[in-house]
Amino acid sequence: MSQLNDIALVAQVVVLGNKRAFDTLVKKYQSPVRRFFLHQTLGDAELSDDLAQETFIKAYTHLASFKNLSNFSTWLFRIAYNIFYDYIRNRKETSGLEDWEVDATYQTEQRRIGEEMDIYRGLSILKEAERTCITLRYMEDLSVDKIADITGMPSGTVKSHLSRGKEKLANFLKQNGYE
Amino acid sequence: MNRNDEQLISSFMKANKQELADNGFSRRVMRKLPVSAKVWSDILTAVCVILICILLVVFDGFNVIFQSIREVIQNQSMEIMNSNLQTLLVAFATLSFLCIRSVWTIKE
Repeated sequence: MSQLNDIALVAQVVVLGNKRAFDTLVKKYQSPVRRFFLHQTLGDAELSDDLAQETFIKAYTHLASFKNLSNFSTWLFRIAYNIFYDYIRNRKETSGLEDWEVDATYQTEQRRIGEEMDIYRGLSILKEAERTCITLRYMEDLSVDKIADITGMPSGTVKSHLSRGKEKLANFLKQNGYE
Repeated sequence: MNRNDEQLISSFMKANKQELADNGFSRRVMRKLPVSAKVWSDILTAVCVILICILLVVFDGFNVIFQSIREVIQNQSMEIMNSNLQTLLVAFATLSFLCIRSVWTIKE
């Protein structure tokens, strides 16, 4: 039903130029998209919002190319993923990543769970691809196939990243007393 | 990776899942959307239509159009009466085929 609603809203934007329909889509998906970027940037809220904004603007300008081969949320996450990795590539060309990753971790105020556990500390031990796969799997409840669709990686590669990411994260949690 | 580890990670991630309040985010996105080319096209179309209507009224264009249509119909009526039945049937069949093909193309 949700997918049908999304298709109806997309049709209204593309065919009728109804911006209110797009506003409805933005309100619906702003939380998962921003959350995705928060996890990839390890809690940099300002950067996450900028990247999320870029995602929705790109989605709006390319809405006519949404062919409903996947559902709208998968298509939107694919745009978000590409925008994030374009940003990473541009940053790598100018400076190293470690600085902002560390800064983001210290700047962010996080809800403390149990033994002072921080989601971003946990995610920072993962490689980028592992972090993407883990967060899409466990935060957004996406299947391996959907993650493969979003990232463009083969399903086998997604499973490898998930397996390695889970192992690292599980060890980290146990070492920090989270049981 | 055993089941306990899977549950450990799953419960940890779910416990840290945030629902982010909009706080004006969607409003900022909507403000930054580009103005579509269609809007300008619609404005231009509206201006042209208004201009044409004014010109039609000023130069009595409706009367001219009506007279032209009447002449065409009168001329065609004479032509049809002089044509034979076979020619009319062929013309009718061709037009029907073209109409059906057009409708079929739209449907696809």
